[in-house]
Amino acid sequence: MSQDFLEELLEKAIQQGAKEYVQQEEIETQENAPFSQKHEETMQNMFRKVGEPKLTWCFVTRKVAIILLASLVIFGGIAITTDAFKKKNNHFEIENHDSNYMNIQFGEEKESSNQSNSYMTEEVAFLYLPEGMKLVNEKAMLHYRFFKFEDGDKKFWIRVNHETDYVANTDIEDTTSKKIIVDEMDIFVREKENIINYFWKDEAYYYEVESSLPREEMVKIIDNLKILKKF
Amino acid sequence: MKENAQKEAAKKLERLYQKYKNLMYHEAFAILKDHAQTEDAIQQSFVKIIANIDKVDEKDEPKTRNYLVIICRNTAIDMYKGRLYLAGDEANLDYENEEEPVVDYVEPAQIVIGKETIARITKAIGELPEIYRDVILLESLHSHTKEEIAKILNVSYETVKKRSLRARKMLLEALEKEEDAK
Repeated sequence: MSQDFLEELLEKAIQQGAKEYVQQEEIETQENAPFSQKHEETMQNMFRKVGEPKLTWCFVTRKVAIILLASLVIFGGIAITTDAFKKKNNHFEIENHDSNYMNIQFGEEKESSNQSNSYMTEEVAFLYLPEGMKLVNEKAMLHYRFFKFEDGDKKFWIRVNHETDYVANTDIEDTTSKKIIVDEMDIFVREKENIINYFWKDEAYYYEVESSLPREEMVKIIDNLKILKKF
Repeated sequence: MKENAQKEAAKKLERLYQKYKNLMYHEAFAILKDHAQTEDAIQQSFVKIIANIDKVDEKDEPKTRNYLVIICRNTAIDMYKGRLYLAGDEANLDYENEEEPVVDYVEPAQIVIGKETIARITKAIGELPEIYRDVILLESLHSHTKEEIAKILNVSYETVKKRSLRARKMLLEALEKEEDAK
């Protein structure tokens, strides 16, 4: 028999012998020991501490992660709610800075064309355009689509806003204003010198146009304007 | 999940304490002969048991009892030695300072495990001096490494190694003696 094998046998014999030994070990019945109250409290404290979670790095990291996640959910919810509140209460304001120019302030617009896909997705179809009129600028923003057409001196831009509330604060000093009806829509028209502004609402959209085209021609363009749902 | 394991360990310790506290008390008191020091020995023993709670198999009662007694007795011995050291009575510190023979290698005789061999080994384990028996039991029965045993017994790794080899040599000699006597 090899030495290793014999050693292995001896170890097995010792293991088995040790088991037998503790089985046969005689233990006298012990009387109740006179433990002090202080000792019992110490032991209970010791056991309680074993059951308490330890402040290991892993434990701390996990707790911090949970707190951060909870904070993210809470503050994210607040942010979404706030945004929804703003959306609901922001009004579309149109202010005149001078007689020929309208500055439009509408909610929280963002001027990044790179983000256009994230914004308003409706397509606007111009079923009629005067001959030679070309699209020179187009924007898809958070709340609106913007199109600018030009043909030499003839130009117009149109902005299609998508919002629940609409407030048009317009300076009508030195202007002629009136309401016209196009395809059962009430259109507010403001005219100053050769520039005509049009404002109207159709279902969920609010439209603004600034145009140097003759009114008849612009009305024809408006009449042939269609919103196409992209999705 | 880890928290549940900790709570379960705490409950296990509580059960062990309630079941074996009287036994541990009498084991430690037999060495220390002092009530306060015996309570201290039990507290210190449980600090060691907490560190090795996974090794305690409650279902095997004799094994568990033996394990707790070994830890408690050695803790008490350690405290007793400390007390003697403080009293300047170093001559009686025979446990650790005992002249232990250096044994490099144990050559097992040709043994075949049978009921008879096991019975002889069992008897020989019972006849071993406690310091050797405790090491053998902690190593072979309670599956502790020599490093772990050194911590439990509060002795050096080298001492555990020497005691382990010496114990094996003594068991082997006992076996051979029985064989020769046949």
